[in-house]
Amino acid sequence: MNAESSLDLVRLSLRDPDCVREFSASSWERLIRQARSAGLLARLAALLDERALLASVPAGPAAHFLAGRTLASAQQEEVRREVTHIADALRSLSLPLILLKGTAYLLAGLPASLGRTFSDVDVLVPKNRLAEAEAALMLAGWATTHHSDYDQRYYRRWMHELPPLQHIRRQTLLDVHHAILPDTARLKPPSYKLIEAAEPLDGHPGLSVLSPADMVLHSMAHLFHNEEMSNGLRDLSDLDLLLRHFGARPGFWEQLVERSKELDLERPLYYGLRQTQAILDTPVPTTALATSNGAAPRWPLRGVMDLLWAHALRSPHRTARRPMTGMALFALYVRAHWLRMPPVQLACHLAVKATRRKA
Amino acid sequence: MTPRALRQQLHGTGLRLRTGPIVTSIRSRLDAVVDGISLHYAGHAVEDATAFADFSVSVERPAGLRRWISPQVVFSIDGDASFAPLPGDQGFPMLEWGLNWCVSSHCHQFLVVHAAVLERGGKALLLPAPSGSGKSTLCAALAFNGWRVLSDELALLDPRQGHAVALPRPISLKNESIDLIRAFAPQATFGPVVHETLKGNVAHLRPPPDAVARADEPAFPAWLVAPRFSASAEARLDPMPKARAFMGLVSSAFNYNVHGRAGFRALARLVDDADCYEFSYHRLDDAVRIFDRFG
Amino acid sequence: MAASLTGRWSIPESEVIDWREWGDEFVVHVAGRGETHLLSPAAGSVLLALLGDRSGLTLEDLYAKACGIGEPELGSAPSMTEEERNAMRAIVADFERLGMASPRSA
Repeated sequence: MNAESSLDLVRLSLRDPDCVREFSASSWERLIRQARSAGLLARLAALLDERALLASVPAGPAAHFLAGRTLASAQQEEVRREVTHIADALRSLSLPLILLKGTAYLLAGLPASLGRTFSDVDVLVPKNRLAEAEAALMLAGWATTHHSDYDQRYYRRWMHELPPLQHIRRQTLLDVHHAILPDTARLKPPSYKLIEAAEPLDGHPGLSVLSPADMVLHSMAHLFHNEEMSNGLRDLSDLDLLLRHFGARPGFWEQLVERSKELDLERPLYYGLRQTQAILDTPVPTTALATSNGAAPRWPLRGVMDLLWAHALRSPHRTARRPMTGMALFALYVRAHWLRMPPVQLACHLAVKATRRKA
Repeated sequence: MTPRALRQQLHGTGLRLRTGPIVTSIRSRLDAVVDGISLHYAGHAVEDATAFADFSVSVERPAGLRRWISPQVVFSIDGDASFAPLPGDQGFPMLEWGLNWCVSSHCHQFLVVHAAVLERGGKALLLPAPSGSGKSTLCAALAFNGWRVLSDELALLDPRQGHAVALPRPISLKNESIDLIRAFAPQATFGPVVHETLKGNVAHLRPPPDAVARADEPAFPAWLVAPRFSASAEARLDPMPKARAFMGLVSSAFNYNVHGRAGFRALARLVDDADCYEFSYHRLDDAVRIFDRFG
Repeated sequence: MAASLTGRWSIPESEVIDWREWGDEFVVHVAGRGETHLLSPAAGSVLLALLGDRSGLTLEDLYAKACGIGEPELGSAPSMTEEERNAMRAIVADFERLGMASPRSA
């Protein structure tokens, strides 16, 4: 498969950055559009830069890479500031405050923060301290969003996070989680285990990040349970960078597999390893793959799921979609809800959402 | 390009229109858009299908029954149509608005300031101002009286070097300004007046030939003037304290926050190097006469 | 906010502040907040005083230095009137609120 015929150029360039050497103007055009749409413009620029390929990008697309990197840098600076404000607001409570996802990658200086874009900050606190944390944050200027009673109840009862908070002055968004999956999800990774294993962040007293295996498993759980796949390829790229970084540490893969059992996350591990290897050529040891295959769903579901993921994990841009992708995304959307809530809730929740959209 | 070829590209794979540093692939089946492009962009370069396009946009009627009852126009960028539609005959203003949106939202290789920019003798005049200040009216008057217009709306500033880059596009005028400029600059070519629900009457005028021909000539800002159209007859040009001029630029820059410290330094250098004024005027010929003193 | 126990203020070492002065007005960019402000002549002089000496300055120190900066022809610093002291307090309080200065702990 050469560059010209492939539909998803972002995926191709992430996997094999050298392929951009052969790009025509028309391919560059599609790549820039797809990458921007997938939130991967700055990451791609950074990966090309690492391989000394950025300087030879033609002027047209190069301007977009510059624009994307400038934007990502500004967003990263904003996340750092927000973390300081959040730590200040919660300091007197002395509770475990764990940074999650991109926020963690950035503050911990991980390769997964390369060219990372941000729309919000994610943190985790113990469930029994959630009310205190919320009160302290509101005192410091954060206000709830999602004002309908239904949404408030939905979040507080079923979800693993507060309704997103927005700072009234800075307009920045904050997601406060108490678990990495909702209480009502079928998989139940115990939060106390994550908190116990969390590692303090150098240079940031009071802040922690998940242990490497937990960080990877969280990324997998989040990716494969999330109802909106628009960040799918970006999250997969994050996962690829996490695995390449931590995978070099002795004993990591064994710890990862072991930990997935402790946290009830074997199925997401199976998907995560399989999909990163297939799509981004992540070097996953065969032993890890073989062990995780034990958690695979049985045929024919396995084949169906592979197909669904392959479609959903493309960049969401129009030119990257094959005809089936709309359906694949919808099927995953329904699946995400199914995993999240017991079936009795499902119909009423979807019905409310549908009504709201038409209004 | 023949009208037929133009229509073919707009209806088909897209017309790759160059406006200064930006190439936009435009698709539209609306006559108002085809006619508007034909009139206002007659002097602009069109790139061929193999050239890189920065953005891909379309202005179309949305599908569905609505198109017969109460037609609308919808702007899409890269297939994303998540902008509020406008009523049926506002296709060309919608395109212009959409092109501005692309640049101000995505072109962070520049510091993008809400300002008109003109050039004379190699030096640039920056007119930062919110809508309703008379900036576009003044810009149009100057564009036909000795000044080359780089932009009437979006100043593209290089964040490192500080020069303004030209983005030659039609000048948009509203309500009374339309007749004012028709009278003041009879050589200007206007498109049709379109009634916009929010702004009143809107018309565009074609950029003068030199604006397009010399689009690849940048210029360093030598004068910064904050204009204000005022009821009083006396035209006044008063020196403006530079710190205030700076803060005005900060609040007029769409993507100031994206540039962080570099944005602060870039605008500070601009203010360092430019003479800063506040300008209130009522009559256009007073304005042209006063600006004649510059340079 | 609590008054400084030592009566001294300084700009934290980690704080990155860019500033420019034109005439006697100042503009300042506080990188740690991502904010840009316009400062009066008095506030600008206090900022320069703080930037020039990170050891921790009292209101008297700030006043003396600000006067020195603003009016170099003065010999020794005049003492503050009550009104001037209140103005200095207000400037320092604003700086604290904007993340430009913080009370020095002993």
